[in-house]
Amino acid sequence: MLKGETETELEYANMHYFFNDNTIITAGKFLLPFGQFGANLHPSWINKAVSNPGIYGGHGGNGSLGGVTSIMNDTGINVANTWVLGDAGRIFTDFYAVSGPRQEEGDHGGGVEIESKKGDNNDSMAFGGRIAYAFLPEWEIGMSYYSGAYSDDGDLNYSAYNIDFNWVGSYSSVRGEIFGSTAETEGEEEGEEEGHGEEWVKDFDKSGWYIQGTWQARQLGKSWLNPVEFVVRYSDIESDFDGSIEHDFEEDGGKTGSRIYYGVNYWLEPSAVLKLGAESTSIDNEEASHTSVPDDRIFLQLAFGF
Amino acid sequence: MKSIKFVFTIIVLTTSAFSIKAQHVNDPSLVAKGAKVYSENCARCHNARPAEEYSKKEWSVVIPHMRAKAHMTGKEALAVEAFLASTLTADVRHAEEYTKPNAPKKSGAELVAQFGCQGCHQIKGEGGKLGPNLDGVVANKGEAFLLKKLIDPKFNNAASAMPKYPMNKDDVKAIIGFLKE
Repeated sequence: MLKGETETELEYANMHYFFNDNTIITAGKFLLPFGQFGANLHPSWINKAVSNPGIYGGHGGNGSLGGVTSIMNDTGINVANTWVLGDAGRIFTDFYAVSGPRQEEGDHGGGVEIESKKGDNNDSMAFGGRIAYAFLPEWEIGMSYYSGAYSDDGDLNYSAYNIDFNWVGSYSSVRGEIFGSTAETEGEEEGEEEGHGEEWVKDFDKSGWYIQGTWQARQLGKSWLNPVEFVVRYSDIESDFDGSIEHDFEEDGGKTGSRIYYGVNYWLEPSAVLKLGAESTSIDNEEASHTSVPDDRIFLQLAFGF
Repeated sequence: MKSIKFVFTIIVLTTSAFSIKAQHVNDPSLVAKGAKVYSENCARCHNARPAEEYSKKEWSVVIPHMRAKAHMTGKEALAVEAFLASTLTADVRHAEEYTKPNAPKKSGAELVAQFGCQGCHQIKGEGGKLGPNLDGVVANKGEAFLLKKLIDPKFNNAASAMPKYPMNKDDVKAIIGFLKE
């Protein structure tokens, strides 16, 4: 019998300084403005699906996809600006400096880990930002970038980009993200009999995307359908893992593929929802992932937001 | 790294002490603007939350946090706060005009403007899209439906973001009359 585990984590604790009408400085531990899902959409009552988009992997304990290393929260400082362009146009900018990623621990270690609860492992900070254009109330499109040294000695770098879009209508919404990352990894060629071989640094690239659509059945005008919402989400991840990099990213590299989610939500309150979902994950390269895991799931979740 | 974090923390703590406290402004145009901002921003990420979910004091804590999350300007956040405060029954019914038994009746148009209905609904071709279009709503749904909806917005949809407005029967009749025009 498998034993479960409970993990508690302080997700954010920060202070805002409202510098002027348009500028906000945030200091402390905060959700990084990298894409939309990690910064704004992942809380259960906001996330329309039970699970996460495939590019965000198994965060939350579901899914066998490796995901692109999630950039969720960190400790540092962020400067946010809003530029008003007429009645509906807005430009949003965020620029931040944070502790940054760290080298993963463990037997298969060497990969990138972004969990600020473990503290900083080197003297390098990570820098990033997001620039978005919104045409309120329906459209928003944003571009994010993040870069920082992750190895203990500060020699290896991790960088990531994200392009997100969001369309919200009266009864439906479509949103999606394209997410890519590059992690440098180092190794050494096998030398001739006890001698050292040539050292190398290679880039390990991983990228993916997801798209999500929702539709509220209240559009049909039947009062019993007013609280019902339908959700579909498709995610896809690929990497350049081909076995040539033996150790550092093998675990993650094996878990690429696609995921589709179908769900029906029943809203009990504006912030309370009962979700029923079915999800199927298809692993592209099962050989590399060591084990072949059938991953078709059915979810039932009650989510409540405060 | 640690020293940088410490210095930033001190700067933010110090300067926050001199920040200006948001004011509650009882200005109809601010309320209408707040309804529009509320309609256009909350649903970008999540269902809009009805005003009655929190007290006025609680909203004054929620709004600055949401201002940061939604990238609202300070003026927009102030307008949203004014809109939410205007719809909170407990706050408004203590206003002088609601305590006088012979308070002057307002027209439907005045009430629609006062409550910021067009922040979320299209009326006579103008307004937001968070809620249904109200042009022709009396003909389509009937007066009885509107009467119930205005008194108890959640009667037909538990997830409705429509606030429970502090209005009496005369107000409801005036609004329905305006929507019929």
